Amino acid sequence: MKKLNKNEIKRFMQRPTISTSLPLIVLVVVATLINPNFLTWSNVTSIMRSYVFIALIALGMTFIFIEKDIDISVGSLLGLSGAVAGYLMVEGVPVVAAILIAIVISILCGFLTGFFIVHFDIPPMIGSLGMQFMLRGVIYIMTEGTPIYPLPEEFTAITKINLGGIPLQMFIYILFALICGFLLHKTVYGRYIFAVGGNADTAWLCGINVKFVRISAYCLTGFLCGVAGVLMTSRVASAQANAGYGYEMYAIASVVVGGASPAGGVGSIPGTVVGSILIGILQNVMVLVGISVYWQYVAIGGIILLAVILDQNNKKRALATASKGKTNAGGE
Amino acid sequence: MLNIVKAFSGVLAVKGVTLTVAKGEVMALLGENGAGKSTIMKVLSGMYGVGSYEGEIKIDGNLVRSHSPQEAARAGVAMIYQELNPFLDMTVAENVFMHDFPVKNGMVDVKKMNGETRKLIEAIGVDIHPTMRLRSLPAGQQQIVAILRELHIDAKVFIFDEPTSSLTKTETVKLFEIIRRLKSQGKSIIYISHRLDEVFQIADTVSVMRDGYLSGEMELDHGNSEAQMKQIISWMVGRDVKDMYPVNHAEKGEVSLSVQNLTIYDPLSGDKKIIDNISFTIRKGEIVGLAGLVGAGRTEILSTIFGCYKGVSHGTILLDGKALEIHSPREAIRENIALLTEDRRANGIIAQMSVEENITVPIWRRIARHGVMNRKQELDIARKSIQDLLIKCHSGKMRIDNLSGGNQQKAVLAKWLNTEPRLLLLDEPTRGVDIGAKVEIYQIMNRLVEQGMTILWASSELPELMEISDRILVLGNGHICGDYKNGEISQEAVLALASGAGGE
Repeated sequence: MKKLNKNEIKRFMQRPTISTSLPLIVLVVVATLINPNFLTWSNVTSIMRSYVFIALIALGMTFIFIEKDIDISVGSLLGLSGAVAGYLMVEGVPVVAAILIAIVISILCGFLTGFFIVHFDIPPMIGSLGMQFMLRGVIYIMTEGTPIYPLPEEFTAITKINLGGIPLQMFIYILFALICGFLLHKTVYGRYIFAVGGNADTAWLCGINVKFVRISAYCLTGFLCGVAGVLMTSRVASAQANAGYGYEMYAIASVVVGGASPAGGVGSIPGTVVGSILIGILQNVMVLVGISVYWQYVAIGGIILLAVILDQNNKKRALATASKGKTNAGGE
Repeated sequence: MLNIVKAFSGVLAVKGVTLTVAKGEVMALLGENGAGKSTIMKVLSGMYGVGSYEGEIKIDGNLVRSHSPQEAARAGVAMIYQELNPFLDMTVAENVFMHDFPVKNGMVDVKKMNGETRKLIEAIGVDIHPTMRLRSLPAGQQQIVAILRELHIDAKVFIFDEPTSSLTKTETVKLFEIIRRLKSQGKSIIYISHRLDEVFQIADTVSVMRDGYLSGEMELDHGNSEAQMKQIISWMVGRDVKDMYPVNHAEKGEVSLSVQNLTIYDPLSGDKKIIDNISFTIRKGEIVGLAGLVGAGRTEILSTIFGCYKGVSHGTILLDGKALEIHSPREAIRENIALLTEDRRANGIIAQMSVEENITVPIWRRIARHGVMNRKQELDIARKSIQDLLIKCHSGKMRIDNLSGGNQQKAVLAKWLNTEPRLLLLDEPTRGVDIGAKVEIYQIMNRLVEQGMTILWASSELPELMEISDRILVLGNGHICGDYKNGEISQEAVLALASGAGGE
């Protein structure tokens, strides 16, 4: 009985949401001790405001990771979405239309990335690297390297809305997190994502349209990049040429810290949400402590490496126990 | 002057086997799949290093203790693999000198490299140029380049593992010439093959393995090949437990599956036919087995029917009188056809998923309402499958790769049965499965045909294939060279037919 409980506790602790929450709590405590300003409401909302864009992208990246792909063009795509919206509004296109067009174009770009990678069977890292560069180039062409502004009042007002002190974009994030969680964990489509990442050959032989599933994950991510890009442009009240630069790494860090495996087939939306909070706070703490932006890159890169190494170790251990035939009999 | 090779191991699938090959001798190593041939060869070639086996390997009387394939190669063991993996975009000479480029002034001495390669090429008398890119050469010549490489590092023992499986007839003739030349240069050769006719052409001695033991050895006396072949086959097949195989009493109905003029091409070389214009029919309630050697086209026939064959094929396939147009597994599943593939790990299971989820993969769509999974129905179906097929697991929520091989296989079978197939295709359903689970799988097969299903299956284990099937089709040279009812033909005769010894 006692042993069973121990096993249950162990398993509980190994759930990505939980195992990621622990360092999160430690981080919050340490941050508060170092700088009492950390836990003030204004600082918390400022984290939300600045990190919510990356957190949105990370939701899509979770799907892509689980189906065993990767997309490093998301930062550029976020920038493109903002540039398109800004460009159209400056040209006099109505705000709502500009937003919709920007999002539709983002979905199309996501589709293209997925299509190139899946249809021509090229490594996703390289395929999305090509898109990353191309999209960034398009942004520079559109903006000519300078910010696009002034943007209409009613557009910049969107992200100034506060509901009970919480910025609107936070509610948008929560809504999409819920939708993505439902999609991934409750629907057939979500199962397909896991199956394709777990074993694409088996999935295909079981009648699953593997190509469709893979491309659709890129489209979903494109959509979320579009939304994030529009929101970010509204918040900074201009479309910047370098908007979203490096965001892919933050998004990947959030997903990996949240327990998704680069080897595919494993991951969860709750895990990614906790991972996003962790990386968001970490970034904020580094700012509060006065660590330069340059060192932040080093830290984020290091975190990705560490998380992947830990994942690899876990997998080796799981493989070793499986081949020994030692099954944890305690469960369920 | 003898090269003594000895490998002994309790843990591995080989139990106290001693093999000896003399200089200038070709020894054929025979045995069915799982007999332990490849284990022995992995020990020899250093893939299983010192410490992972017991016993010793001697070459020219010197003890060889290699920890890796590289060390084994240095000791003089050359392995020519069945699956070639050369550097396709490099030249012949570069491939030959891959591990020891001649260097002059810090740069690769191309002249010396090409010159020495030319000498090697002349020594075995083939028509290849040192500066050709490997990609431009056909499979047979690529294999010859692999041999050149081993000659270059002065190998003493050459191991050929099913070398002709990817070769055409003329390439095979050429290869045999080269093997004879190696022989005359005093090399020792171990030749692994399923094709008895080839063995009789090239080998001096034969060693047969079964269940990890050496079940027989003989010198080939080419005057008396008929009797010797019989002897070899009986060593390979051995005696069998009779009551392992349950009898199938299913009633046979009208024709269910009809395959007409089916031709299947090799996916790699477009003109080579793996299956050449075959036709056959199967009646409802029948279990029909496909017998044949490795590469005879068994898997290709099954995967063509299921729509997952990667190469080109044409022909007509009718199921219950209706012509099928199947281009993908999805369409096959829609027509109620199911295929259990031969490699469970590669494309049978989804390792990260639970037993329950694995059992329901093809029917997820069916048990969802408006795209949302119906967990309760899924659990009910999974639970029923686990009970019906006696899948041993503590919980359906366990990851499937925590189950034993036999239980994994039953789970994969359950997955396909949940699609309610009319036609069930099984490719090596008992591979990597313990005896107990094997018998259970036979029983399940019998139960299914009694319910009116049609089963077409393939197995490399002749005894089970012959005992369980109502009929067997023997494949050889791309044709059906025999169609026999259960009990009409002996294992020996099937093997002889399949290996081309029974006449064209």
